[in-house]
Amino acid sequence: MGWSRFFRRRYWDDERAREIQSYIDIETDENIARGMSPEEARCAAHKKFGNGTYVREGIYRMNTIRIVESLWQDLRYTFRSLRRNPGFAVTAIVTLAVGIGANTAVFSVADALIFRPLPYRDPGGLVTVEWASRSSPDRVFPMPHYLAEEIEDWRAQKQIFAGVEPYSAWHNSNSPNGKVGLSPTVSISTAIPGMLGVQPRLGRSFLPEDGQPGRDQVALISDGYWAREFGSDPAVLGKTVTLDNRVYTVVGVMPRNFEFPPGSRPDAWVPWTKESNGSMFSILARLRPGLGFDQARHEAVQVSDRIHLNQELRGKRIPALWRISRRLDPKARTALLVLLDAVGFVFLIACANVANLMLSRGATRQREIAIRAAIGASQGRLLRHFLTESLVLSVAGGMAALLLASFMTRLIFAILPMGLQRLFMGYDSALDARLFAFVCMITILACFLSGLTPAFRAVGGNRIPGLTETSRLAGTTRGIRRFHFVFQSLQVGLALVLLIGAGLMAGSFTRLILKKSGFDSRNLWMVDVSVPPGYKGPQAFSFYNQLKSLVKTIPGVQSATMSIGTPAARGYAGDRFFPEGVPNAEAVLGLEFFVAQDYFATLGIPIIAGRNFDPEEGPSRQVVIIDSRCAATLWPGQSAIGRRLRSDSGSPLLTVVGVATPVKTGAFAEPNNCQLYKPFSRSPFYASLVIRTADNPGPVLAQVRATVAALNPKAKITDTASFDELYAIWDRSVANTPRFYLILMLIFAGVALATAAVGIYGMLSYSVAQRISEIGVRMALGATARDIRMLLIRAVMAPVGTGILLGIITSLWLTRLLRAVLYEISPYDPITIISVIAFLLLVSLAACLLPCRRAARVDPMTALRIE
Amino acid sequence: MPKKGTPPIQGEMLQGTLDLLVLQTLVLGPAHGHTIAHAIERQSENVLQVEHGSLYPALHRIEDRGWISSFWGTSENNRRARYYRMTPAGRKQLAEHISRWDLLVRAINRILRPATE
Repeated sequence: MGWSRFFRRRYWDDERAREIQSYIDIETDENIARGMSPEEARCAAHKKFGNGTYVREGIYRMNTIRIVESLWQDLRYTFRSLRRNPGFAVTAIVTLAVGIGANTAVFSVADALIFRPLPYRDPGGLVTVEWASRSSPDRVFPMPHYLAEEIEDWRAQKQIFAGVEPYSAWHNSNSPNGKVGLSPTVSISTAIPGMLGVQPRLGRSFLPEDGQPGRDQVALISDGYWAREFGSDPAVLGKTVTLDNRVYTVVGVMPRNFEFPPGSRPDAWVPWTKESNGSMFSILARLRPGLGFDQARHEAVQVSDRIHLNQELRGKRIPALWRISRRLDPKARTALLVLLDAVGFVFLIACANVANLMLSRGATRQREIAIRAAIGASQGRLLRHFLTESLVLSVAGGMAALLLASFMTRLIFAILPMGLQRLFMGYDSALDARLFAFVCMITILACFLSGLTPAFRAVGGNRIPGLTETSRLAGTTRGIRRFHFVFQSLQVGLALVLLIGAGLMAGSFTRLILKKSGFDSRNLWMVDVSVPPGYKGPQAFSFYNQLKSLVKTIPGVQSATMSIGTPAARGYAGDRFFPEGVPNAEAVLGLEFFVAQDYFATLGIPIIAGRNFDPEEGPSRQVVIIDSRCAATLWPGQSAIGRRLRSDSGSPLLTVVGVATPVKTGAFAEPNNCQLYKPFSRSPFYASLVIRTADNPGPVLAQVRATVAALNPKAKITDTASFDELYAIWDRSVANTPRFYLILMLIFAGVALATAAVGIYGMLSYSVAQRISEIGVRMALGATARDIRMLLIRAVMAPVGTGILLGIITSLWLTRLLRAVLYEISPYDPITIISVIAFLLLVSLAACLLPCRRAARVDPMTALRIE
Repeated sequence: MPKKGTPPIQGEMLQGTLDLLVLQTLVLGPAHGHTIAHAIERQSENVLQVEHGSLYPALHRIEDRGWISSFWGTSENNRRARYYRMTPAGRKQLAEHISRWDLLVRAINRILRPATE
């Protein structure tokens, strides 16, 4: 039946009515002509025709699209009944909007950072090639490569790789165009854009000859940088940018969503050359087509002997291939997924709340339902009506959620840690098809989660009481109360899980912020120096020693030392270590610092037991100084001096000669890490000069630069910074991340708690209203106000108690996931758990306050007179 | 006239059958509902006795399919009445319906009276 008929039903009904009338008239005329009386004639005509109304209804139905018609009826009915009960409607819509909105916002972030595929051709075939500790091939930190010969060695492994290209994202604090501020730049091999299958949106990609020294001063810039610095001017090609005191010509602008390395969006990419980047780089490779990842990984280990590797590392490192399918390191990923779970809980709580509201509403509408059923509505029809109602609420909630989500996404963006912020910026935060599909899906989910039980509950069951019941004495039926109980406990349980999570994060954050650096970081400077090309072994060692003595003579310098790895950066992830002779001991991860003997004095790190290295001690002596926290972990209650550490890479045992105070390092939250100091390398290729100056030292850094240049013009200073700066960056970058998760967790837990409290309040108010006669009878029989209060609080505490129990079990099971983002606090921290439970109980009691007071004020006479 | 004792066929007829009869009635020219109803009843020698009302949904349906069209006119005894006219599509449908009907009747007859056929 056509749509035009559908919309012209009324017209056709009129037409047919007139036509039927015309039949009756004609038949009556004929009957009169046959000799009947007019009265008789009309009767006979009607008899001949049959039931006119029935015929009209039949035609009307023919013109009707049944589903649409009943849906439309349900919608009108729903709007009418919701308008009559705005309190219910608004509460339900707001609750759902918060639940859906928060999920949408977090999903949009997680989608951009985790779920969206990388914008490369066949990203599954791309891997990074790294060296991992033989003992722990599951890396904690990526380890850069140092020997440019390695690249050729890997390229020769044609049975594994179709392409092997270096890139270098390590030196990234340049200031292009002389502007201050962190503007990351990445050096990439000229073949990398082709390997990724990415073309610039404007201009050209790198050509092979761009990788030749002297011709390498060309740059591809990011879309964001193009917009920021050049106002998206297409005439940017040929203009220049200054990076690290070198002038580069812009040859192309990369697409908006381009990211490289995966998970980061630098401002510019410049050609990688052996001359400028050969001292430290990463390797991107494409697997030979048809070779599986696991197979490739296995084969890479097989050929490791054919690859150039630094002497000291040979035998201790094995090649490790990593898929590049993931943007975030496992920890950031875990943290985001935890947030996604948390916000999912908020959603479930919201749904439970709305379900509870609907249950109560269904209970008060028993009469209406009974009447509708009595005049012919089928169960299915009633069910459809209730589901329509929850659909209307969910869709309204979903639409409100879209507004809320755009606001929340902005909020999340504002507090996102810097690296993630840059990454997220590349995606339109505006609503796109993916996000819209998500919102639609979650809205429908909300409709069913919140509406199904109440609908079945309201429609099913014995309807006779609905018609006959005139007394409110019966109160709520047992069945409904049982459902209330379930939803209530669910809400409280989920809220508790979130509260415990937020509590643990708060504890972790406080510990992190209050953490002392462990030494005096004022007037302390770090200068990263790489050796002149070609310097090896003792030659490099004496270069650094010479440099150190020269720097000490600069006026204003109080002391100077060398180290590989400084606290504010992170130490190098080394092997896993076990205490020798302790069976079943848990391994610690060594964060290794290679330090000169004067390191502890210069930084002011006290050695609290044992001794410092002697000046002659090299790494070959197998001595080590560890931090006191680690010593306490490995040998609880005993002195660590003279004990030995066994590494599971099979290197010689290390003897502990000293114990130092722990310092605050970049690797802040990895569990079981151990600060391991080893004597400064005899064949360094890279080191930091650490300098302590007097107050107001003057142009010390400039003099240090001059000293380096004077000693050997080919040596390169890669970075300089004060430790205060480094710790400020540390606070921004490292502490920002837990701060971000903490803020969001607190918001979610707050919303969850508020929703649960409102739920408790609503339920109890409803129950007081329902049981007012019962309360009246009890009071008439001698119950005091206190008895009544206890009665109500008991009724609330049963589901709350069950919820708390559920919550504890769930969180003991779930907070394991938090381990990765917690700092110096156990996921099972009893103090946190107990105080959170106490807080939750307090809030639940507070939610009972008003309804209890109302109940206690019930006048027995009035209550009974209602009957 | 039907033999005594043979009850007239009443109630719901096969939908397609009613359509066929309506179309066949309109072959002779436009007619209104009353005429059509009486024509079917008369021409079937009163075997097909239906409530005349049940004709109207059929008319509505056939008109909706575009086999007939309708207009308001004046009846023989000066009453306003809705007249139906066969459309070209209707004419084609009728031919098809008739051949299908013949086919059906032949088939059923073959089953009921195999010997005589």
